[in-house]
Amino acid sequence: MSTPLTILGGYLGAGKTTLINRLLAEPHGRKLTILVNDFGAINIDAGLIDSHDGETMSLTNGCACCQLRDDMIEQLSQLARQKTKPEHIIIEASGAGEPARLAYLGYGIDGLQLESVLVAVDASTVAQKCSDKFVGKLVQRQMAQADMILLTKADSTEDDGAKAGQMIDQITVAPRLNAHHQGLAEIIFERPPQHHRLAAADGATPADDLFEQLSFTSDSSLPVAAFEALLAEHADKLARAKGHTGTHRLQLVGAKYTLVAAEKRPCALVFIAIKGQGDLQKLEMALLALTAEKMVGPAGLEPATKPL
Amino acid sequence: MSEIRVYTAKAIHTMEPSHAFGTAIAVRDGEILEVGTLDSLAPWLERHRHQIDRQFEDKVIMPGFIDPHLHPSMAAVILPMHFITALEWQLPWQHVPATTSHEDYLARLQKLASDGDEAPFFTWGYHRNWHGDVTRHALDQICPNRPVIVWHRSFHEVIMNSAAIEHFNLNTNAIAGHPQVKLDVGLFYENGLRIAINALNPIIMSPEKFGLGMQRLKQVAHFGGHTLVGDMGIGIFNFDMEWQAAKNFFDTPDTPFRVHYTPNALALVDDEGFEKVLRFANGLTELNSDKLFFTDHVKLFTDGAFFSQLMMVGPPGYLDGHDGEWLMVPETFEAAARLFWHAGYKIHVHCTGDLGLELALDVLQKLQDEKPRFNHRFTIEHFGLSTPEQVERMARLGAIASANVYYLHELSAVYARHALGPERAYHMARLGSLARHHIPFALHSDYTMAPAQPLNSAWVAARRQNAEGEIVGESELVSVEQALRAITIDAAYVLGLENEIGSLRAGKRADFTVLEDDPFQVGAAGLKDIDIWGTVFAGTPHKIDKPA
Repeated sequence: MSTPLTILGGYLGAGKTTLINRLLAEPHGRKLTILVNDFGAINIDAGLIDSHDGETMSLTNGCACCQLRDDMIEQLSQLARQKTKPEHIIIEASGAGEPARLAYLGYGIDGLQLESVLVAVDASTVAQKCSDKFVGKLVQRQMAQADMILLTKADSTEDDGAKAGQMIDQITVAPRLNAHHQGLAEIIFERPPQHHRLAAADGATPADDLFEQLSFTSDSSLPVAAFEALLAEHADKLARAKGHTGTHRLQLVGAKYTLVAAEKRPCALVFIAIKGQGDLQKLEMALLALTAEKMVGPAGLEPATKPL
Repeated sequence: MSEIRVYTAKAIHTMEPSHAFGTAIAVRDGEILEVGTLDSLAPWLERHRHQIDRQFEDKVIMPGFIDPHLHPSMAAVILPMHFITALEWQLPWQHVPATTSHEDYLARLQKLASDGDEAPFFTWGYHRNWHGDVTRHALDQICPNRPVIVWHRSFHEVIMNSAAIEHFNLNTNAIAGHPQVKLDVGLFYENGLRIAINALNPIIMSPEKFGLGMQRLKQVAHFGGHTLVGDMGIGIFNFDMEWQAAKNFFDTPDTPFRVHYTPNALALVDDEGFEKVLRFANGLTELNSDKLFFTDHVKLFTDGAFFSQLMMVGPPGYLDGHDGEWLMVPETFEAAARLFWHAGYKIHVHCTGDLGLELALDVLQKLQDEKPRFNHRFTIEHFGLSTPEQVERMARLGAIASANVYYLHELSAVYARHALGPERAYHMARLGSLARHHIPFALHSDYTMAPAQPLNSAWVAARRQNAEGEIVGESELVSVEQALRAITIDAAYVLGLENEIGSLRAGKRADFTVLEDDPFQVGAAGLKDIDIWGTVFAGTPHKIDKPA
């Protein structure tokens, strides 16, 4: 069973550390291990700390927090091999970096499965950051690489982050959550995919106000070429998709996807769209119509930077 | 006191404007007494024991060459590898010919890898613009059994054959699924490269390989005619390991040069922040020995690598619309620069693109407003892309430069077509503008980003001829004298060592480079072909052993 991996990105000062402090201390019942850039900034109530050896802080609730090391791959491999594995690993991306690059580290390590990329955005500074001559493009790329935007400090704006939200919507179709919402952890770690299309929201969690979901399973594998064509048609209306086509593993983030050959498995896919934006019904019909298969190479969520 | 030794020469170019030329130089105990003629040295020679050494009678003496920016540790990783390169390279142990086509590349690799050895074969220098797509399959065809690891010129990619992928246990589903690994063609890049390096580390960082690399770097530095080199950023892998290797290999009587060390603040910083790096840096001079020493310099970074097209480029950006990267984002760079500025350090900033330079200058402006400093030597390292306005601003703010002018030679034609368009590609390294603004500048190799051959760098600066033979950006040419200053006295200035080295005058160290021809006579076009006899280090001759 692979350990899910979540990347938490966002520019300097976006509020990542505050979110991490919350995720470590809030009673969500999950045993998280969080790898952070700046161990010194983690601020946990002393009563919650079980042990602290300078490199790893273990909490009484089963969570742990470690300094991200230079040999991150080795560090992640060790975590994935541990006898008592964490239920979920979160890596704090450097504010200077593109979270998609870090997300790539989730691949290539046995026992880890990239789950999602979250990007924290400070509602009070996003307009200024997006037009900054040095980091404007970087900040926008970080947002474009998110599965979900966590809007922070909305309460310090006059319009509760409304203008910031509009600005973000121009950059990404990823769903956006106000980080002040209760039950943040639950949304981040998602409920298990459901077999049938999620009907109208019951309003129980803020997440239901934001997305609708389609789960698709099939005994036969999907034909890859035809499936790709279908993805191309729907990708820009989907916020997120993942799962297995029977022969390939799918990760879709924003409008981009990777479809990678993998060990055979029953076909099981989940598609998530922002409510009202994706035509999940049409997608479901098209999926049902598919058969046969063919290989494709990896594509998709490339960081904007590139090697020579 | 020891006996005075007088070296005579056809010409001695002191690089001291007030006393530019001589034919005899008197030295004692590693120090210059005076430069002049045998006649003019009489006041010394009448008073003290001396001997006249005429072995350089038909040669030319220059101040010992200085490369203020190279990376011994990185070079030590690359130098044990077999060089197969698009441009020719002179190594002390061999001449590496230019290999410019796909077929020639594979033929040369096959020949080198068929030496009977079965250990993994490492080669460095591959570049797609010249060598086409070299794939796992192509490598399997010529080397089915021996593991082959092809390292890209930029150091940012590797390609392996099937034997290597097996040998290093890289044939897993998880790795095959990595978006920055293309296992079918054997390619590992970016984060995928980190997976490969993780597997290769036990070999490339082994004491045998790394030690061989350090030994070779020592030869390379002497071969280029250096008597001092700057390690511009110790700590790049691991400070203690690097320092220990430096002590073992360079701090020995047979090393004919000194090494000036600048700590790499970005590599050294941890979760306790730059304050801790400052405290660490403050204590480094305690490590100093005669040959290896720290002073009051620190290395910071703005934007990414020039060879990888990761420099931050201002409008209109790259031809293909991709973007560079920040190695330190503005807030971090500013905070670190402020800390070291107020502590009185000489700050060297790795800046490759014009937007990277813009950040460095914006921050320097703020720091000057906060706490004006004179003679601060804030140095722009690499100085790839810049605008004329930025050069003017550098002059006003007191910034100086250390340029990797070889970018222009190797990359201007390729970048004109594939990265930036000709206008910006041809005006990399605006040295002429620096000279017109009286901004002191050095030339460096950033070895192995460029050959550690100062005369070759001086040739590019004074000639601006690129790899395809075109002369580009002529308004940025500098004179032969200016180019030679940039590898001697102005290079010393960049490291704050101008009072002891970089020119030949009474009281400075007796470090010379001995040439077979006179650079002022051969002119700009001939600089790179001047033979170097060797060096005189601390008064003692060290001849270069030429490869067979």
